[in-house]
Amino acid sequence: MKKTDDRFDLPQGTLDLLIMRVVALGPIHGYAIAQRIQQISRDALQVQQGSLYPALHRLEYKKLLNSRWKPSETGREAKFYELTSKGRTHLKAETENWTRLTDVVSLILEGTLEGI
Amino acid sequence: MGWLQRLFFRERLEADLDKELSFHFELQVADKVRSGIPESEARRLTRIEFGGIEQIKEDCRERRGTMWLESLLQDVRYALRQLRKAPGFTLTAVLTLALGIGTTTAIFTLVQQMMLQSLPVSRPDQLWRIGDQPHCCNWAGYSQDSDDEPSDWNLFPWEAYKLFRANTPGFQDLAALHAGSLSLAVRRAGPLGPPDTVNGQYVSGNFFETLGVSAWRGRLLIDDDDQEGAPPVAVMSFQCSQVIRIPSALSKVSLTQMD
Repeated sequence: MKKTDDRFDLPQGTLDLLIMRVVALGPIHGYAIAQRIQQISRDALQVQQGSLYPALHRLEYKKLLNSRWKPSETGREAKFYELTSKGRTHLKAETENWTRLTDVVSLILEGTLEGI
Repeated sequence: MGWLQRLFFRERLEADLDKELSFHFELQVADKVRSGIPESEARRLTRIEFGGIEQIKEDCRERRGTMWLESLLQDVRYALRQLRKAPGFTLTAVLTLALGIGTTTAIFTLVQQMMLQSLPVSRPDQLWRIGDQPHCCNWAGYSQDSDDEPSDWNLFPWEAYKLFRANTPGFQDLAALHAGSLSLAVRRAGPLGPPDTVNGQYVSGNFFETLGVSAWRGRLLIDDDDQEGAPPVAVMSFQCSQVIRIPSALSKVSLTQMD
C-alpha cells in the first residue's frame, strides 16, 4: 500500500479479501483489479504490484482463484482471474468474519467512557 | 497445479509471470500517456512505481515454491492428528499393513528360491556346465575368446564330448548341446499352409534324461536317436507350440532344416 495523507495501511489479510471481492464481479486481470480497488476506495487505497501479484499467485495456489489467458480490451493477451466455488465460499465466510470483527471493534471504540 | 507439475512447467510459469507483469506495466504506461505525460517519462515513472520487478517475481515464485512444502506439512500434521484421535483405527491399519507386507515378503522369498532362482529341472543343484566363461551358448563365430579374454575351455568338439562322457566317472551323466542355433521350418500336417520358422538347437540323445525332465506330449529324445542313420526327430518347447498354435492333440509336424 502506498501511504500518503489520505491513504492508509491495510490490516494483514485484508488485501486478499478485497481482491476476491473485486474478482467476484467477473473475470478480471491484475491491472484492472488494482484500478478497481483504487476507484471503489475513492483513491484511498492504491494496491502496489509488489503486493498484488504475490497475493494473486497465493490465492490461485490455494485454489480460491482460477486464471485463464485471453485477449484483453487492448488486444493483448492478459491473465484473467476468476473466483472458484471454493473462493466464493471463502469470500462469504471471510466477509462475515470481517463484518463481525469491525462491528465489535466499533462497538467498543464508539462506546461511551462513562461506565469505566 | 500440483508441485510436480510446477517443477516441470517452471519455464512456462516463468514466461507467464513475465507476460503478466509486462502487461500490467504497459497498461500503466499507457494510462500515463493518456493523461498527457510523454512516453519516455511515463515509462520512467512506471518503472519507479513498480519498484524492483525482479523482487515482485521473486515474491510470486516464493509463494509458489514454498506453499507446497507448507501444505505438505499441514497434511502430514493433520493425518497424524487424525491417527492419534482414532487409536483403534490406527492399530488396525498398522497391523493390516504389517501383516500384508510381511506375508508378501515371505511369499516372494519362497517363490524367489523355488521358482525364480532355480532351473526347471529335477535336481538343479547337481547340474554343472563345463567351461571357464560365465556365458556359453550365445555364441557367434568360431573364436572361443570372449570379451578379448582368450578361452580354450568353453566350446568342445563332438569327439571331445564323447571322450569326456566315456571317461568322467565323477558325473552321473554328461550331455551336450550345440553352440549357436539353427533355423527350422515347421509345417503342420494337413492342409498346406506357409511354414513357420523357429530356432532349433542340436542336443545329444541323453540331453533331456540328464536334465530329468519329461515330455508333455509324445516322447523326448533318447540315446538311440543320436546314432548315425537314425530317423530325424525333434522336441518342441511348450512355449513354441503355443506360439505357432500346434493343436493340443499331438499332430504330425514336418521339420526342414533351413541352412
